[in-house]
Amino acid sequence: MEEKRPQDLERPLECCQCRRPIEVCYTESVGQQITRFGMCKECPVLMAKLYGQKEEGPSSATLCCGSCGITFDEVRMGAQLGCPLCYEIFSDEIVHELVLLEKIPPKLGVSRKSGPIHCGRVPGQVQEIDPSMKVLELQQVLHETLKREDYEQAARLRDQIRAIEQTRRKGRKKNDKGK
Amino acid sequence: MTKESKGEVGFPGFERPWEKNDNDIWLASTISLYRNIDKFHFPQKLSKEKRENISNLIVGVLKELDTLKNVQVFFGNSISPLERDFLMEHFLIFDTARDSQNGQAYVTEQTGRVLVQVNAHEHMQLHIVDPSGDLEGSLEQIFAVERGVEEKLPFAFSNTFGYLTSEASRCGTALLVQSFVHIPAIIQQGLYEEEIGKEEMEGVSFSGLRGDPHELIGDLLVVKNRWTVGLKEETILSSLRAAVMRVVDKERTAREKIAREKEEGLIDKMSRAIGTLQHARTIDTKETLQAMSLIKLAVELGWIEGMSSEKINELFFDCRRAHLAKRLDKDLYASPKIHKERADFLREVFAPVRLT
Repeated sequence: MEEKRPQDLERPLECCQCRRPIEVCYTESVGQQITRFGMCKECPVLMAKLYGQKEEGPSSATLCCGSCGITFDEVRMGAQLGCPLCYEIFSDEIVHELVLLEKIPPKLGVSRKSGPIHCGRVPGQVQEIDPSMKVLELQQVLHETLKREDYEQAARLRDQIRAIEQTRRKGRKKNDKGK
Repeated sequence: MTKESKGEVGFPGFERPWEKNDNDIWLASTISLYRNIDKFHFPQKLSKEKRENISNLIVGVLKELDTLKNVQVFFGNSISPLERDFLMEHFLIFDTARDSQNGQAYVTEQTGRVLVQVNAHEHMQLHIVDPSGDLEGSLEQIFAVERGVEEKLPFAFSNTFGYLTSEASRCGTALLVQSFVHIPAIIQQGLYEEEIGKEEMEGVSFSGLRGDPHELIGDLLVVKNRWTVGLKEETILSSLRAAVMRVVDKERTAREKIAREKEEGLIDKMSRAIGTLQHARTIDTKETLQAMSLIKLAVELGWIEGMSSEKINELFFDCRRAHLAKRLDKDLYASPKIHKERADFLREVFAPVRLT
């Protein structure tokens, strides 16, 4: 038998229309046929089923990116964003989604009114992690390792610390020569 | 001499960072950066021609970089499914993407540590594998590659959302770090739910190789950052390291207990695992990984002869489909014979193994 590829088995339980976790069990009874769906509670398809096609939902329902033509409803239902401009057009909706799906740290989601949610590196920034920070962190781990009497692991950590310090020394020498 | 020492695994001029890796618990990590070139639609919205243009543009820049030596390029229309899966296995990418298409490319370099996927989900997905636990050093290395590209091709970026990606949940730093931790002792003692499953560790999530936190194939736990946006790169690395160190610590404590108690039930399981690999006539990857997990635990406890940490770590790769097909140099891809060939290969490798 052919091996199943890992991706075939990866799908989590999610709304039959969107990508969110199932929160509503929707049962439809048409004539003799009864159909049950697992859906998320904000699913646009569910809204349409409950309140008819004329949606009273957020105005985002009609939002459409002028550059790539994708609508936010498509994005909510599993399509990927199409271009950098989507982020400007759907800005508030994207933040709302990220908070809802817990895709940003909760503290940030609560405190954010407007303004950037990104706080990492920006283009062109040479952001080398300070080697002394790394050495400090490694020393902390080394300390814990020694407490456990795991000398093999401790030796490895010591080698790593030594290697970093050597590179720093070399770097300094180069800089001095440069001057 | 066994078959495996004869066969060529990988591509010519491509080193294997997984060789000589004797890690006992924290086996490896991968760091991935997602980037899109500014002013262009994301890959899903590009025409075939535009995808090819962007792919050529990126590949051209990558070939010129000082940070990548002996660059090898595999284009989507010419790479075989076997080669593609080999790269995915080698770089520990559990990708849900379909088969390669025109306009996609895979760029590797000499050390076998860096892979750039072009036009998969994003214009560029830069991956670096790290078997040493030096996450910061590896991040710096992959940033050096990223900066080299950025000088020629500016990336899509907004002050609000950071680096822009087709999946909004990946924007911001657009940095994903995954660590692979082997925790057989925790699992054998039935401590997983209590020690790890229930515990909330700041900023990280746990899963198995297939993404399900309740199915840890080969007792391998994947620890990854939960968020890419709203945090600094350093914070992502340090939360991940802190979580991994805690898991490693729990596993070590569990192993010490096992070493002290030498429980008959566990020794029986280990013996059976050896028996399976020594005698099976047909075996799938999952069963192989489960058996090898117990054997690796026995190796680390010093209860076994005929097998080393380095060798068993390598086997975690070599038993997988694309690695095995490439090693045996047989047209086994998607063939029902693969389970039989795997069993033949493992029987030979595990023949000298026995519990002491």
